[in-house]
Amino acid sequence: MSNGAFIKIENLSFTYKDSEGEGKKALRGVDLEIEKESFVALLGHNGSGKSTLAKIISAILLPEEGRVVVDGMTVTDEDLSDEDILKLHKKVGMVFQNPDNQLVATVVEEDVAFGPENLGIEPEEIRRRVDDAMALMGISEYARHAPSKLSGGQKQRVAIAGLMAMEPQCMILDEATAMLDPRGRKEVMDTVLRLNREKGITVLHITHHMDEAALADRVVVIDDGRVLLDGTPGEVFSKVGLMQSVGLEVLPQTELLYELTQCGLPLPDHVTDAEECARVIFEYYQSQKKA
Amino acid sequence: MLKDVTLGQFFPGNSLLHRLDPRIKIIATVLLIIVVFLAQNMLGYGLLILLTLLLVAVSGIPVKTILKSVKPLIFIVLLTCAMNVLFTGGENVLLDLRWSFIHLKISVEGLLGGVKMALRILLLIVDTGVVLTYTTSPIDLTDGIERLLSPLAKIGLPVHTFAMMMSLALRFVPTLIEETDKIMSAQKSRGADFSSGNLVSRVKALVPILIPLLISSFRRADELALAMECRCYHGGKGRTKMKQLHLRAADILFLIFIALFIGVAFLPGIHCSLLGITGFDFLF
Amino acid sequence: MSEYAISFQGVSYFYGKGTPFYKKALDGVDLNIKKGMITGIVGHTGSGKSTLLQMMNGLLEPHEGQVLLFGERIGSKQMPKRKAAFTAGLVFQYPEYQLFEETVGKDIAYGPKNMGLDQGEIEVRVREAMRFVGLPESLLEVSPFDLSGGQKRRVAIAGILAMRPQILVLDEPAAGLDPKGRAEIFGNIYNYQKSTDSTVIIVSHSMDDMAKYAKELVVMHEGRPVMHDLTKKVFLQDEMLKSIGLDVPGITAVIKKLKALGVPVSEDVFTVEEARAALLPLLKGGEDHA
Repeated sequence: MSNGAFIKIENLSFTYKDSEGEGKKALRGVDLEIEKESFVALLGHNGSGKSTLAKIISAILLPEEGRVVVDGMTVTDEDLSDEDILKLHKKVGMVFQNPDNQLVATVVEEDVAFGPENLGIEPEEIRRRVDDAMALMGISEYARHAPSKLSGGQKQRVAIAGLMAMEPQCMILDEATAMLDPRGRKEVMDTVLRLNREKGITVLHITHHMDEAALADRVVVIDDGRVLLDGTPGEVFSKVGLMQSVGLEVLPQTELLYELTQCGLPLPDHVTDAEECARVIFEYYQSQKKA
Repeated sequence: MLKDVTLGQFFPGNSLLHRLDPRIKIIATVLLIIVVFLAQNMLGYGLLILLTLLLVAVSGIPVKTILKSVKPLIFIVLLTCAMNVLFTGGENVLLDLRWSFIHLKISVEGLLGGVKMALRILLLIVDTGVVLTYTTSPIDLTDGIERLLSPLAKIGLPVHTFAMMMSLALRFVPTLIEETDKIMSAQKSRGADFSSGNLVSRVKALVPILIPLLISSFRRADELALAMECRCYHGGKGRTKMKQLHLRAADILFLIFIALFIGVAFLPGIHCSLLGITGFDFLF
Repeated sequence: MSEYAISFQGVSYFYGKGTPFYKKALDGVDLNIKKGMITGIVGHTGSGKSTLLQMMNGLLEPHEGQVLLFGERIGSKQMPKRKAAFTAGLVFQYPEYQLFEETVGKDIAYGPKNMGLDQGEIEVRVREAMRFVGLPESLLEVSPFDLSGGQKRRVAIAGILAMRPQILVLDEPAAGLDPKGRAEIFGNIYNYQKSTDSTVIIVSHSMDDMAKYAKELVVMHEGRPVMHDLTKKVFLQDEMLKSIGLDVPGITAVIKKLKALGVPVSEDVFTVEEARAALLPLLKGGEDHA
């Protein structure tokens, strides 16, 4: 079911220089392809290099080695023109962690219009796009509100509406749910999932929350600047020991099955669903009872 | 609590004045300010007071609210009034007091001058308030200023940058107030005392608030710049606006009304001949 | 002295009285929090949790009712507001944003200094607090702004611990941290409580963490505590929790399903550890336990 790669990352390396000029390797030779219209979760502990990767994809940072091609455009070219960068940002939208620091206007609808205005789109067309984006994100009723009066989840939805009004093909959420409460996280995840399924938006979701990663088509774990694991949520979560060793966790149901297999029980380990987990334990219980 | 501070003096509403184009309101305000300074005689002031009352009525803002907003400035009004009364010399002396080296002399001219000055300030406050700040949201105001100044961009003045800075400032004032509140509470929880001690120790007590606030503002500015870049912001070049300002008949009529009023009331010689008022020279 | 660390007696608090933004944040709260254990507080944003917390150390004064620390009313002669701040140490959400000193040591010393302690005592407390949160002494002279996010968080928590509060109150201590950082912070807090036998109150959205660390749980909803019991007993009422839009620990879904399928597993299992311990005997020697 390959749709072809939307983002192609080849042998990517990046080093941060601190104030004393000492280097800290953030990425060491990352190879990764992100398919068109897929929903990929990117996991890794703090400082593992996930955010650096996102910043290189959106041409905010330049790598010292390797290249990234986004929809046919090599974005790691040093002589990328300003027009190319604009084109890239129009195609790939970013949502950041702190909702307060990405909203620019004092009124919600004005904020949603900010991107299209920068693109120089006709006023009537902006109006249409803004109204559509607000309806899509379920924030139409706050159109005239001040962003500072909204909840965290609502603010992030305003930010996402601001991207949608630019009609992007891909969206990178850089720990966009980290500062939200469970309700806000759910609001954001629901809408992002819908955008992926219904609008075919390619999503790269950087997160610490395993329940969010479980919703993705594919989970990529980055550790120490390298791709450590790459597969479906079931495949990745089954490597409980490895995940824990790099400071991550898995879903409680997957962890339970892992713990039980560690005690010598022959149970499957690819399970991420709670119901499924109960079913396999039950089946084993039944077989034991008969024996 | 800091949170209760409201920004500006905007009172949301739907009156004729609220609905006018911000550009028209800015122009009208400037005209009114000039006229208030040009007014020389009691008739002029009388007409201006009438106009102001009319504007207040149209704005739909309760008189009580307006009086409340004038209150903090009443001291300045009284002070200027007193200065005028005391230091304007004149021929029709009402009171002449000599007490050791103090020489107090109050004249009719001084008294009138003082009253005029007080009226002038009050009219300025109420007129700009009713026409502009009370009835125009900060964002509309910024918008209006940007568009009025846009011809200046042609000679290289950074009009767009200025307007963007203003609207970002407006956007972040509530956020920063909230943040200050939070940091103050956090430091209070660590035993910080902002309300006792002498001036030096009070200023010192602010350091634990100012440094975190400064650091977080820099961080915010950084993140905001990045977010704006990712949203394709590249200055004012080639930028469009969703909200278009359209002059409507009401806007034009309002401006004509203000202009006519000024013409009738203040162009030298016109009112006297029109209204046939003579013989009250000593008042003017 | 009272048997309770904190008592709320008929406490109400309003925001924006007499304006269109009027909101009752707390509505006649009666709540007693026991000494010497970790009590968790859960509830949605806007349920009144933050207001509740800021009353525990005297930052906010109730509009109605009173708050008592160890039986003394905050604001009374025995418990003036300033003493309340030192008795109940409050760690705000994202506390690293309050750091301001040049060195880690100085920042942690800010609270003790405000208490008027002498230099020797302050140093002892700073080191002790750093140990509690797992910061090496080598960081004493380092600028807090050169540390990682997780370390900054620890410095900020140490700044409160150094005041040796009898009650430690934390608002989402692990917010924004990765799973490892989360587990470490909660582990530090758990061990701190064990070794000092102090009273600890944690506000968190994570039911899994609450199940692991909190002995008692208070559920706030629309300005009132609607449940207050042993954590396990609260989680047993999962229907009630769901009705106010709160989650139960992740493993609960598995246990409930197993129970429905007829596996004789105890219902009060809320952590992976407990689930393993409960299931292992059932699965290993199936016939013995059936």
